Amino acid sequence: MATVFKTFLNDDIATTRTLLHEAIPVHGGIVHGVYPEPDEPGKQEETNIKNYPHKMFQSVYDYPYLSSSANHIFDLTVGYAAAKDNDEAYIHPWTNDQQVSHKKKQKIYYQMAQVLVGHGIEGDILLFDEDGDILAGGDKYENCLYISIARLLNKDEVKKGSFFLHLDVGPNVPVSQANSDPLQSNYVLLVTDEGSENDYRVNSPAGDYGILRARTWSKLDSNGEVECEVPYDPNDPDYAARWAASSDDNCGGVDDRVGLIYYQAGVIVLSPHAFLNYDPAESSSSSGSGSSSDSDSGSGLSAIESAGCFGKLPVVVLNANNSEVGCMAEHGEFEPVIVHDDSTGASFHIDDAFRELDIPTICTGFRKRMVRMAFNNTTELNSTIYFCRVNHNDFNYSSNPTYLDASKIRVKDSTVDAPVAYITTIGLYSADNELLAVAKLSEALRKDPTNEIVLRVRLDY
Amino acid sequence: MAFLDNSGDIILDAVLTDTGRMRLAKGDGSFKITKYALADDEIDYSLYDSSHPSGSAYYDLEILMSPILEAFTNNTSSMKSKLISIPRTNLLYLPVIKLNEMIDASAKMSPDYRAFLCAVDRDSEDVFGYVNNEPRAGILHGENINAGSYCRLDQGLDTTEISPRFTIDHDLVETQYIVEIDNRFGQLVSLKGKSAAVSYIDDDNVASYYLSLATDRDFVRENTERDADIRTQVIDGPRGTLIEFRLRSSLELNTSRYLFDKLGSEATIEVDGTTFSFQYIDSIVRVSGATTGYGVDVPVRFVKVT
Repeated sequence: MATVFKTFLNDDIATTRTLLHEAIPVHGGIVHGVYPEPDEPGKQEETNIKNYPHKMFQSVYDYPYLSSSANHIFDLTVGYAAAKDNDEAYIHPWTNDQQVSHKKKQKIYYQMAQVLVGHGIEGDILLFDEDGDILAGGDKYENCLYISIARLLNKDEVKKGSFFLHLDVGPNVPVSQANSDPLQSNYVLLVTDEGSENDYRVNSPAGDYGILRARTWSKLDSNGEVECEVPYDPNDPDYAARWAASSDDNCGGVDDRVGLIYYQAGVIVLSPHAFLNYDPAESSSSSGSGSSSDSDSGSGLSAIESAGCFGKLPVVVLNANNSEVGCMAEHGEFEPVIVHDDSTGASFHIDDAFRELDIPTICTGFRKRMVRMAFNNTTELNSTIYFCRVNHNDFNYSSNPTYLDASKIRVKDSTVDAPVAYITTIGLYSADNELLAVAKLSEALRKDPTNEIVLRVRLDY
Repeated sequence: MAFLDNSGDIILDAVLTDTGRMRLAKGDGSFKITKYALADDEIDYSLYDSSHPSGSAYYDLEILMSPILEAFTNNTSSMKSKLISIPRTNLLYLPVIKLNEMIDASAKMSPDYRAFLCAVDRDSEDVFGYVNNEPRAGILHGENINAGSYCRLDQGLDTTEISPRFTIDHDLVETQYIVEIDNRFGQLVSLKGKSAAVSYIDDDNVASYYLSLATDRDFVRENTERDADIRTQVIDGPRGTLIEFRLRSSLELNTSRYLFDKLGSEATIEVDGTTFSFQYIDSIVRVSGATTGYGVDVPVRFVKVT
């Protein structure tokens, strides 16, 4: 009996689950610099930054967002906890706009905390915990910068241990597009969840999360390249000795918790501590031995060395007139790097910025400090594999109109010749003969009675 | 659709068809793959050169170099020529399906258009159906379905090398036909005016009718004519089965010009000295064998006088 279909048997269909990872690099140039800022006069149609009238968050696209080619990359926003209501610095005469902004920041914080941290036993919203050990109490992140990665990039989740964020922590404030090159200040801090693949938390209602740590600081050369003689290795017990012996002034290691990363939610919660964690006591000692007016690496690094800042992030604290180099303490007082408000021309310490600027302005300041962000996303592929087993006596003839010439098979000259057909397409059918899936081979496969073929068709869902 | 890269390893590009996605979205369990078929849509077997001077390794060189297109997601665009499984390897001839215009005058296509014309309403039947009070060839009456022309397709080995007196091998007899027609334009009816049951209508409005020798005798029957000299047969060799049908125009074409305005064109025809304007839509009715896979596209023009 001639037939054109072959029925799958039970062992011809298999199901599998595969995790697919894609590398997602987001260069700082996309985040700021390549396209105009949204407030640049006459350039609104070319900006890739979308601000909203509600001023609750800021969206970043990979292309001018008015274009249909633009893809949403991530959103930025900031928030702080209601504890700030008791903070002396937060109780002072505000404009109406600042009061509205104050409420919005609290709203954002509790919205994010509710979703990502969850509720306590009394129904109260829990705060972001620095080490993830909520039951033990401990330090909380009460000021937070949020990066919410779009699902387009995040897919099912961020791959654990793959997140890297390079932040510009240098003294120069990116004021405008012309001097907003993140490399100009030379000091770059690496924030990463390295090692989280084997060390993450599961006590969040939004899934797994890891601890973000500031790992290394680097001084970049004029090309923006990092050249460390002794790459930082936190697991190397001799690292300190090797680093000291190398007289490498360009790199150093730190180990400071600066945020959280929620893998399935695709949300990065970053403490402003990432920018600066400055010990005033060491500042005074370092400034005494050498201060730098800007990013003068020579005197600055000398100051670091002389101040005994080995293994800590060199930071530059701006005072009214110049910069001073100090060391980053383990958990010192919060003395933030400044954010520039382009609209007013004023500069703010990030602490003040959190208090006095609206959300989009803070986001813009933070965005200009992003040098590079990279991570691997994860897509969970559930696949069904159909093994199409073509036996020696299957599919040796064709119904192709060109197969016949006056009903005679073209590829045979006599009855003893073997029939030949060429496979280019595989059709997967339902019981009622509806074509549900189709697969194409990149080149025709010869089929004759002397060969058998197994075609493995995988459908991913 | 682009070509697949054939410079390295063989790759397999698989996609769900639009129908597959629709069934998946329904979530009612109708998305269940139970069988498969193979096809060779891109292959031109006339490139097979069994007299190549360099030997048999070169016979199919041209065929194997054929570039292959990416998979189409439209379910009706793929799998046009399926491969056939026949356990025997000693076959030299395979059956075909051919339109039989020789059986009688009513089975002929319109000689002017080389297609069947389906007059979708009474007025159109009156204009197109007759010339000099004689029936015009190739006119299917879409409203008065008991009159007018009909389509007949014969199946068998179309070769003079084997006498039609031979009985065609039983495994080469087509016992079930699949007729596909755009359901917006018309439905299949038998010569006795009986409507065929639609098996399914896909997302592109293509209706499929499965008509088998065992259950649809009004449409499918054996071709018992064995005479080699008779001038009513198009199959020169052993004959298998045949299928006959007419078309009933859809209610939409019968009563509305919407589809004609949207999909059709306009022309004029002169009948008995009078010129009539009409609108038309060109379509095809595909008839293929469910077991042997061979298929034929019958051109049909749906016409409506204005």
